[in-house]
Amino acid sequence: MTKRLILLFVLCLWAFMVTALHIAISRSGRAITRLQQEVSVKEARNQYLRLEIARLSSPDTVTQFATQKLGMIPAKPYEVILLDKPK
Amino acid sequence: MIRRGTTFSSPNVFNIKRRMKIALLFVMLAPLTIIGRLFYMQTFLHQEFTSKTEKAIYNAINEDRLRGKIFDVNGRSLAESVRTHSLGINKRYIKDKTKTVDFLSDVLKMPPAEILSKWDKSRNFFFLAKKIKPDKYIQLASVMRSPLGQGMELSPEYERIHPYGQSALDIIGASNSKNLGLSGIEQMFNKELSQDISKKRAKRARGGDVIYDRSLKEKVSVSNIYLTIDEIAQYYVEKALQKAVENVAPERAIAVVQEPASGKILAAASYPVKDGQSQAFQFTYEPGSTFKTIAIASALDSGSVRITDSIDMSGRNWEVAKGVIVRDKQHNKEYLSIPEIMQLSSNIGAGKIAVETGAKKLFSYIKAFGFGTKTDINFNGESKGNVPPYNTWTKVDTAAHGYGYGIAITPIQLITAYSAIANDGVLMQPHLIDRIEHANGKIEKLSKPIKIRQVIKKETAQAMKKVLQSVVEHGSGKRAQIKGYNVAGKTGTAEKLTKEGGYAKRNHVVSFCGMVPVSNPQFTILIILDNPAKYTFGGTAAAPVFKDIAEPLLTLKGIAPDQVDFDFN
Repeated sequence: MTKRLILLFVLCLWAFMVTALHIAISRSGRAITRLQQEVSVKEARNQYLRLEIARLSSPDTVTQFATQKLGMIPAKPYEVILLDKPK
Repeated sequence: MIRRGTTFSSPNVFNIKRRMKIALLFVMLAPLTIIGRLFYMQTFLHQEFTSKTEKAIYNAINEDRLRGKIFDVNGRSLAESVRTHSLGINKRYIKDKTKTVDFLSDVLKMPPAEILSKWDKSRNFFFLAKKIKPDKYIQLASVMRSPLGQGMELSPEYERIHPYGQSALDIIGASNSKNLGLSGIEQMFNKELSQDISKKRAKRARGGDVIYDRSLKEKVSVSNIYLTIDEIAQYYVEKALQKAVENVAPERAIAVVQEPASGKILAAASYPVKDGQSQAFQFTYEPGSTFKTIAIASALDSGSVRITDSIDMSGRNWEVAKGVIVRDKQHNKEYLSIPEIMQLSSNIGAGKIAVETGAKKLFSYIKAFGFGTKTDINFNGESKGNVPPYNTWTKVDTAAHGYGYGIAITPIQLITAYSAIANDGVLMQPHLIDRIEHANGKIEKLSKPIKIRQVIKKETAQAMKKVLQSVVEHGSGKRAQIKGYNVAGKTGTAEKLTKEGGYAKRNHVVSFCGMVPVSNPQFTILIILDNPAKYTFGGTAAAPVFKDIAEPLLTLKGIAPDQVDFDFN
């Protein structure tokens, strides 16, 4: 009788643990999903910022800024002096 | 005494066994009904209940995969996808219309009247905004589970962004929001850039949240494509082409830059810009005088003429066949040397040299230079042009092919042929794709210089470079001169065929194809202006574009001047 009771107790405990584990996994799963969503939104924001950097550093933007705001003019190829790299 | 087996009254009323059976029947009726019902449900309503359970427990989620990127040779992003969202409104579930409209107007920066107009036009569901950027998405997503968010639906979508605007768009092409490449590189490499989007089953919790598990982990297999295009070179080419378009208003304009030693396309621009329709590969035309280079190189290489020969100009009216006269109006000389034929762009000279070479030989050189066949650059819609078989050529045809009429070529064929001359007679395989970066990080290098064949001898190529240099120094290509650098090239002004047959005197294709610096050519550049509204010539309209492109490229790549005695000032 006692043995049976112990067995029953162990079974109940196992079932309880399995249930608890499942609940914990589900909770973690939900948390992971939420975090992943946050990550993907932040990644998208980051991507937009990178694209903005690319746009601002594009030759068109840089040339316009250099010529219109800074009053620069493009150098002629013969005006560029090339130095040999020191060996 | 009670005797067993005897009945006290009516056997129908007091028979216990019978009563028990009846009671049992009643008791069993309910379970039997349930069992029967369960059997029915299991057997006949199986599908209905399975789908209900599926809906209750699982969410079908789209795998969220971004399309691969397209880069220039230096890793500048030319096209990439960003994740955006669209906002749909289900009017039936909106609790407070005024509050919702105010909120959406504030977040989306949209006037309430515009929202209300869309609201009134739809019966129940409508998309209020598309391509919602992350900042706004966060604000919208934050109210999704509150009463304010009821009736709002945010669904993910993709937007293809081109950080450099329209630059190189005719090569890159377009893709749609479903990740499908529609034209250009996007279509040619759709398999590498995209991945099948399948749905995955995910367990859901109360409120619709997805419960993450390992099976949801994505396996990314998209690749990134690196072109041989240099975005900065492309910018200079597009800017120069735009200037030419403003000056002479052509119907169509094309500029291509190639590295002769490797065959790499460094830049290719078309006007008007259409997604994935690069005229550098798709346009076919009669080249006119730029083709004289090919005819004369063939004649020199085959030994039909020598560089020191002079050609009789037949009084500047050469009757090729009865009733077919070729005229030179641009000079009054009785004899022209080969460099002079090129400098003055003499049709009589080029035609006579072509006839002297002979149809068969000329045809075999034209084919060896790559005309009449696709270049294998693999760009969608690439044309192979048209070079008729030599056995159909008459004397008039042979002469006409000598000065670039009667055959159709593509810009990529012509620039590759000029690059062969720049490259000491070696024809290289032109290419547009530098490398593919696969999802596992493996780099597949595609930009290896591939030698197709030695078309003309090295000595012939060097002689031709000198002849072409003389065209820029003393002939029709003067406006392509660049201070400090030796430039070689040839102008072209070809009359266009009319629909009625014959050539239109006022409709031209003007062009210039050249190389710089002559001592060690780094760039071959071709400019084509199709049917300029303003009456003009290759030397006046296209040659200056060569200069506008070559100058910044020489600066950009740090190519030292090859003229030794030029004045810096």
